[in-house]
Amino acid sequence: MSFKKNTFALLMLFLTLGGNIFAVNMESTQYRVEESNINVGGKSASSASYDLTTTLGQTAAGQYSSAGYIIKAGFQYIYSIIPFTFTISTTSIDLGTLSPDTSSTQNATLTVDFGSAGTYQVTVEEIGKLRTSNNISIADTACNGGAETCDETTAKLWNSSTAYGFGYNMSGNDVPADFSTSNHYRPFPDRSLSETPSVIMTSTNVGKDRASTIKFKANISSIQEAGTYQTVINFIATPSF
Amino acid sequence: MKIENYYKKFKLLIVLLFLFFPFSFFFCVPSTHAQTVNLSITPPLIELMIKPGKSILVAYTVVNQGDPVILSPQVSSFVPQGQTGNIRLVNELLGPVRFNLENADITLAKSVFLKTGDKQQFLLKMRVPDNAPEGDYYYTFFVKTDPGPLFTGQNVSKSTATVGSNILVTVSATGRVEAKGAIAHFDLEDSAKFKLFGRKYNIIESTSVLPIKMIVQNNGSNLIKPDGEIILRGPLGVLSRHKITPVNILTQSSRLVPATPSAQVKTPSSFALKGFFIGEHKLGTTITFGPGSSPVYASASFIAIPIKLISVLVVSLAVTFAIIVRMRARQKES
Repeated sequence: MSFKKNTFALLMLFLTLGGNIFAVNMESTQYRVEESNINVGGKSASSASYDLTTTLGQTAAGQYSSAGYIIKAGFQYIYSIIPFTFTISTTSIDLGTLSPDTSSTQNATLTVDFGSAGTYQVTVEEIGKLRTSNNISIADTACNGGAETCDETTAKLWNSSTAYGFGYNMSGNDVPADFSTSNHYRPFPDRSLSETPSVIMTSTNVGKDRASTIKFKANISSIQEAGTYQTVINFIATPSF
Repeated sequence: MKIENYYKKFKLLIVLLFLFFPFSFFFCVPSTHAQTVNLSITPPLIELMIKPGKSILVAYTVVNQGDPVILSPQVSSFVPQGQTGNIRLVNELLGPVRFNLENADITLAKSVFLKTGDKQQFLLKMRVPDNAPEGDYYYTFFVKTDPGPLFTGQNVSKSTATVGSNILVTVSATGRVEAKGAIAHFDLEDSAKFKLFGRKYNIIESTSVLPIKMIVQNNGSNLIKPDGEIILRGPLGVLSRHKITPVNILTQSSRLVPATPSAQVKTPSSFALKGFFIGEHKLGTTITFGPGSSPVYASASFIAIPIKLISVLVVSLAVTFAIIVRMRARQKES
C-alpha cells in the first residue's frame, strides 16, 4: 500500500514539475483541423478540366480561339515546375529584458530554396513600431546619426551605446551590399506608415539553399518607459516573374 | 511508530504538492515557443493568356515542412520594381480579373490550419469579365502565416512569413499581343572599365572578369520574352556565344536580361566573360520578341590590354637595368 502511495506522490510531483505552458495556442474558433477532401487529378498542378503546361509553346491561334485561354506554369526556360520554399528558423524575436545603453540582439536564419529556377526576393516590414499596450513606442533606429544616419534602404554603422532604437542587420547569401559589417543596420519599413517593404535577399543567379541571418537589435535610453514592447515582422518571399 | 513517521512525511509531501500547483500556474514564466516556418508553393509562376468572358482554375499546392501553422490565402496586385525582376505587392486588387477559391471549405483570407508535413491544395479561380479591357494584369497569390497571440509580459515580438507565386494575365480577345521591345543598354559594366581623370574608357585588363549588362525595355502593352544570343568576336573571329534567357519583361518596364553561362559576380549583370583577351573585341546581339516581331540589334566594343603583364615587364626591366647600371658603376670604380 505504502509503495502505491509513494508512487502516486512521485507521479504527482513529476507531473507538476514537468508541465510546460506554451503561450502559442494553435486552436481557434476560426478554423478546424480536417483532412482535405479534394483530390484533383494525379498531377500536382492540374485539375479535371485544365492542364498546366510546363513546356515552351507558341500561341496557337486555333487552340486559343477554341479554349479561350493558354496557360503555362513555372519558368518556361527551365522546363520544370520547381517548388519555391521559404524557411524562417524561429518566429520568436526574444530581445529579453532591455537595459538602458545596452543593446539586445536576436538572430534568425532565412533560407530560400528554388532549385535552379533563378531570381527571387525576400522583403521585410514591421506592422508598426515596437510598442507597449499603452501605445508607448521605441523609435526605429537612425543608427549612429550624423554621417552614419541609416534609413530603410541604406544601412549605416550602429555601434554607439547612446544611439537608440530598433533595427536589423543582414549577413549571408544574397543580402544587400550596404550591410558591409555586422554593425551596419537599417530600420524596418513601417507598414502603418505605408512604407515600402525593403528587399533583404535577392539574386539573379540560381537560388538553391540560399541562407542569410537577420540580426534584430534594440537599444533604449534610461528615460524609456518600462513596459513590454512588441511588434510583428513580416517576411515576404516570392519568386520572380 | 515508524509507520506514523512515514505517514507524516507523506502528508507533508502532499501539502507541498498542492502548494506548488498554484505557484506553477501564477508565477512560472511561460516559455517562448521557437516556431520554425518552412513553406513551399507550386507552381511558382503562372502565365495566362485569356479571352474576356472566360474563367480558369489553377491548383496551387502549399506544403508545410515546419511547425504547425495557420495560413491565410490571399491575392494582391504587384508592380515590377527595379530592373532585376523584383516586385512590390500592392495591397489591393487592380484590374478586371476576379479571384475566388473553389475549395469546398476555404475562401480567400480565411485561415487554414496546416500540420507539419501536410499539404493543402488551393483551387484558385480566375474570372475575366466580358467587358474587361485588353492588356496585362499582374497578381501574386500568397499564403501568410498567422503570428498568433503576442506573449504578455515579455519583450518578445513575432515574425510572419508570406510565400507567394506570381500570376501574369494577358487579356486578349484575338490572341494577338503587342511585342514592342528595345535594347535600352548594352555595354560592359562600368566597374570593369578603365578610369582616367574621372572618365571611363572601354579599355580593360586582359585577365579581368568582364560583367556585361544588357537591359531590355518593354514599350508595349503586353509582356515580352527576348529570344536571341550575344556573340563575342575577337581579332581572330567568333570567340563565344551566349544564349539569352527568355525572362518575362512586363509592360512598360525594363529588365536586366541574363544570358548563359550566367556569371557569379557581385554586381547584377547579364553574364560575365572570363579569359585572356588581347586587342579589340566586339559584342553583338540580335533579339526578337516572338513571332512577327522585328528584331532589335545592339553592339559594344572594348580593347583588351595586358596591363598587369606590361607593368610586371616594365618593373622587371627597370630593376634589371638598375642592377646592370649599378654593376657597371662598381666595375668602373674597381
